[in-house]
Amino acid sequence: MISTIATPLSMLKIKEFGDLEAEYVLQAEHTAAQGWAESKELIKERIIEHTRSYILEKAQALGANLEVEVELSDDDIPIPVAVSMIGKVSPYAKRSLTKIITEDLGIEKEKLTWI
Amino acid sequence: MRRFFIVFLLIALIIPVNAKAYEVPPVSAEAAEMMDADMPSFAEGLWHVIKTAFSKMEPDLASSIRLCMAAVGISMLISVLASIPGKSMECVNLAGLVGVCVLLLRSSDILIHSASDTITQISSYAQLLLPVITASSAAQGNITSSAALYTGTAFFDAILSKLISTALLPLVYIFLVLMIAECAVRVDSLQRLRELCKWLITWLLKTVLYIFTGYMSLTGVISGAADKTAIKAAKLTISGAVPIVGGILSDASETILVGAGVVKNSIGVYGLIALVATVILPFLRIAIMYLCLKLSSALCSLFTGNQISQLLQGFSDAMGMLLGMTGAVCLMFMISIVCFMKGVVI
Repeated sequence: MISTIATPLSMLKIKEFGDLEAEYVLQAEHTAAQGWAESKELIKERIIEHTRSYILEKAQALGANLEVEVELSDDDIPIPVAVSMIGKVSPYAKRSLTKIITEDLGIEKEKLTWI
Repeated sequence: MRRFFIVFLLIALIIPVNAKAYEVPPVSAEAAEMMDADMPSFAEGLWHVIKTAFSKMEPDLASSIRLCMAAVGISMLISVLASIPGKSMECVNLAGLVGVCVLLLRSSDILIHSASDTITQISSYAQLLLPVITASSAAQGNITSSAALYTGTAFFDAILSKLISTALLPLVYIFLVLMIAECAVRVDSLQRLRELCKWLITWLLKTVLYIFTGYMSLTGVISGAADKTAIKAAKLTISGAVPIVGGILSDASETILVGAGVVKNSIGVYGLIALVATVILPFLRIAIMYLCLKLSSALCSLFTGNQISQLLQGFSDAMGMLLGMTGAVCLMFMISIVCFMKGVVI
């Protein structure tokens, strides 16, 4: 009877549990980071999409037909930091759009590219 | 389950979260059979599993009753034989005990193996489910708490599974041996050893569960607070941004995080029902045997001296310990899933 209980118990190694714990911590952090990275990527896509829609809406109201590319910051909460606008635009629309983007979206004038 | 998948698919299409990344692991064929094809809600899904399990219990109930009735029959026979003068009471009782042991040891061994297999199955399923629910919880913003919950659950599962397979199940066998020996030779020290086995099994299970629950509660509070602080800081940054940008940021992040929460909860509900479906059949089989043994032990106490009755009581105690082990592992994962589902409210 003693050997029935002692044999399997002797195979238990406390150190193994320590190693396991470290392994699980790594796995957990990796999995959680992956999940959050996925969400962050989706949030980024959505911010780009919303910012682009906002600019396009304003551009259309000014009679400009543009293609817009938005660049985000690398912060934890990504913020639009640069915009590229591709297409023909009148000087008036360009001025107005620049004003809208710098004031409404807080993007510096120097970070606007007109192509 | 079909409706559940349709709802899951719709959610995946409606909400802007990559639900494909959070695919729930498939359950075993036996458990899948128990789950409802159209699972409209948690309560109905659970009810379906319980109903199906009970409907499948008929043969097990019949065989358990047959076994216990045979034991009661032996007890009656011993009672009759004992009343005949000139017979050695000790020999008759011993023969009765041997008869009951022959009857019950085989089925007890099958149930002990079934409990062991079920624990392995639950553990394996949970190991597949844990990364999925952790990722979906982290996607909702619970980065610290989901990692801590994953670590805690996986670690305690490893400890409990190892403890059960290496110490507690052999202890159940030892308990049965001591029980049989005690009934046969009536030595007090055997009884004390048997009681020690029972106490040790119960104490170890309770202690691991208490520590696990304590860990989960503390983790929930501490890491949950860290996540809350991070979310508050993020909200502060958003509110400090230019109004239109703030609106865009808050809309984008809230849509994604709330969507991730919906996916996480769907995974949690599915996981809970899958766990119940995995564990319910063996659990009920052991529970039926446990109840039948208790009942027959009470019946046997009417006929002879209390040896056979005591033996049946001992077998039912062993079944009770198996129920405790299977239930503890299942409960541990259920607590964990609920903790994941609770998460941090955004």
